[in-house]
Amino acid sequence: MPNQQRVELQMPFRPEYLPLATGCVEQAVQAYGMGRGEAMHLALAVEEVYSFLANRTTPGQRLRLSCRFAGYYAEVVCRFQRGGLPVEAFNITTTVSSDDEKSLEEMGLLLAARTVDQLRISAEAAEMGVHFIKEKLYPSVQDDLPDFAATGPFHLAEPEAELLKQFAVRVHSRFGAKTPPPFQCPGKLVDMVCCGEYDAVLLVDGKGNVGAGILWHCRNKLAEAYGPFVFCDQPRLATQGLEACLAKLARQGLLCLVVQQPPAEMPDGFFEPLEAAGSVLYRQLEEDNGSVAYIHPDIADFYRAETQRLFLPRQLHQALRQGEAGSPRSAFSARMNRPAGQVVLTALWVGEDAAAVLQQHVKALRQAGFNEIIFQLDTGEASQAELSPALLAGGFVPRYILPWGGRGDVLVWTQREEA
Amino acid sequence: MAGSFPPLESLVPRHIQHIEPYIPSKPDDVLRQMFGCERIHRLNNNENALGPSPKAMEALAAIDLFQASVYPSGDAFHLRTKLADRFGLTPDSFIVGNGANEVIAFVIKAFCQEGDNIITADKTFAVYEWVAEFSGYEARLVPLGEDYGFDDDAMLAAIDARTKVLFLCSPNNPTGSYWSEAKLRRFLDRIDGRQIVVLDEAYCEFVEAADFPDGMKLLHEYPNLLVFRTFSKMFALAGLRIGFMAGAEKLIDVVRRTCVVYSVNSFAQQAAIGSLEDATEHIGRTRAMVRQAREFLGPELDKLGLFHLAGEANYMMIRLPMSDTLAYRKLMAQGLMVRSMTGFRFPNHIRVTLGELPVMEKLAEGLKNILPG
Repeated sequence: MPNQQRVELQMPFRPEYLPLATGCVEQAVQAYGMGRGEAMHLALAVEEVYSFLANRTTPGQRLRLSCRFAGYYAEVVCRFQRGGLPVEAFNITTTVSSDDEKSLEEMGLLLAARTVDQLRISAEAAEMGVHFIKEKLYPSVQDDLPDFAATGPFHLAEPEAELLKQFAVRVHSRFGAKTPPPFQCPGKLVDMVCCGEYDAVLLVDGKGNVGAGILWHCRNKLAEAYGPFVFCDQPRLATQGLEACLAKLARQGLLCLVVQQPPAEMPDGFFEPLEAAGSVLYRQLEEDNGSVAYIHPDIADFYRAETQRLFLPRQLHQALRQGEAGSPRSAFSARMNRPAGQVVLTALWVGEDAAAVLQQHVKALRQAGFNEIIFQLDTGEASQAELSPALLAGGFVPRYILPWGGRGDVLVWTQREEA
Repeated sequence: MAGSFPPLESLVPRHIQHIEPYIPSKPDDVLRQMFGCERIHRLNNNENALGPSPKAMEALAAIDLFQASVYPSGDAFHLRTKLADRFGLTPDSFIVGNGANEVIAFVIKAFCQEGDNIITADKTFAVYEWVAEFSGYEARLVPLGEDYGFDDDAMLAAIDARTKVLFLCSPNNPTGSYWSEAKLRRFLDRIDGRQIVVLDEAYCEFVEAADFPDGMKLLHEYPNLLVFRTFSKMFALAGLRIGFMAGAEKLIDVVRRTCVVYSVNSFAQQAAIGSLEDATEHIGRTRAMVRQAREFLGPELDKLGLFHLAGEANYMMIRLPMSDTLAYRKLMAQGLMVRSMTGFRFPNHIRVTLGELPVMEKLAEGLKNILPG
């Protein structure tokens, strides 16, 4: 990732060090070329986490702070000894009551969660990490480029800035308001590719016209692609682009490639549909030699039928709590696509209050105008199996399995407004 | 837990952080359970279905198991002597390794340093590329030509001042293509000793074509040439992990400086020596089996309308009208384990080992079952 810059700091949890933490974030983020506003939001998030922890940690514990610039966003990570933070305070549904002292104390964490664009919680050995992400602001697409009649041969071109911007404009001209998010701001697309988080294959003619393109990004073991889109009268370019994309993805250790909402020009024979409507296409990049899926008995029949239909070698383990003590509280993450009215929920932490927290999320998201709520349940995490009864009770329907979409397969549930 | 978790971001070099570990397939008993099949026919690794030669089996049976407590010959002394007799070279012209993969690593370690590069094809055996990249060197990948063979002109054009080693796979895995002796000589002449050329002949013993070059015979003329051979394929000792390289003594002396001694166990060395004793008969039997499999499977695939590429080795590549990884799962459910080729940059292709006829018949049937409509 050529465009990455990183700053790291370690410090004890003592009030006099707070300005060092916030100052570091503020200065680093501005040094990355981002605005003062974005820098202040990230600094505020760190301040809230630091202050909260400083009041609860024992002497000797330290905060590891890192700031990273990835071309189109800055990420700040606070790492500290596990168990010091009430993760549920980061839920979007958390509210603060002025009568409840504990609730007031956690208000800062709530603020921290809402000042950033993305929040993620990670756990590694004895440490816990809270990741705050703030994106750069970019102008949206202004121009319009219609499809064209091809006059010459096309070749594979390196995804250089001007070609990527043209690619974004062509996709936007095709889809208008339904343009997939990565193509909505051409400059952002350039930065996304430049920092290495996204990659693209472009087929270009001798005049520099982008005749076809495919864009993808990788998350854990999964690559998600947009396209192939063809902008001229040469349908064969779709296959050429896809083959070039697969050649680039080969030998990267990725397990699968997914295309949501595949375009009409998608060539036959490369993918398998994950659900009946064909709106999610899937292809494994390596041989699947099996895994364990932790499944609640309520969903076992569906899971078994789907894995048989897809020829997926899976050992189903029925995961049921048997009176053992678990985490009392839960935290969910919500990834929102406001123009589409869609939100994707995942579990950050599953505790005994999961059903109630889920219910709160659904209620709050419905009130906020989201008509499609998706829940992605990772069957590689035994603790998540417990969520199935709550999802069923909440009107969610299991739609399909995304093999190797998380630590194990991801079971995708949806709840539409009418449910 | 005592102590802190190590800071992997700073401890692990950047080029390692971005590499994913290779995950080998699970053992047969686990796979049988996972896929719900009674038996698995392994057609994925180009193993020899006839097994080791009778003399190799005898050598293994004669092993005193107590010898497991004693270190092996650290440089495979007796085996190198046997190889020297067989190929008309000196014992010091050979290095024996724990499979040919290990000698690939020895060569790259011996010749490359920061900023250097190696050159090979984009669609060939992956280990040259992997070893270079996890060692922190650039692997320059030259696309195969229209004939599915290595592109000599393009490889030469890719050379720069930091190019140290060029890897050729002959016959190429997975396409089976090879250069004639005349073409190989022209290539070596144009390199003119400036870089090391590795000729990986892992499958050479399967080749019956008269114009196939014997790398061993070229070693006297080209002191920058290294030839790799293995006991895993034709000699069916894959489970013992043993292979070797040959080259000019001075070159081998350089590579030996990077070798891990004692990496090849005593049993593998004994079995390899046994293999050489009845090599001619074993090669003859195996070639007959592969020929029969190729002659059966080709027309069967034609009937199914599937493009296939057999070349000269003991494998065949087949193009399918579906994802190769989906085909893998569907064939596994029938007990047929093939190699999906997305990782070789041949999407929608599989590679199958040519083996005994009854298994080839099952494969043809299995393919018929999975083809759409």
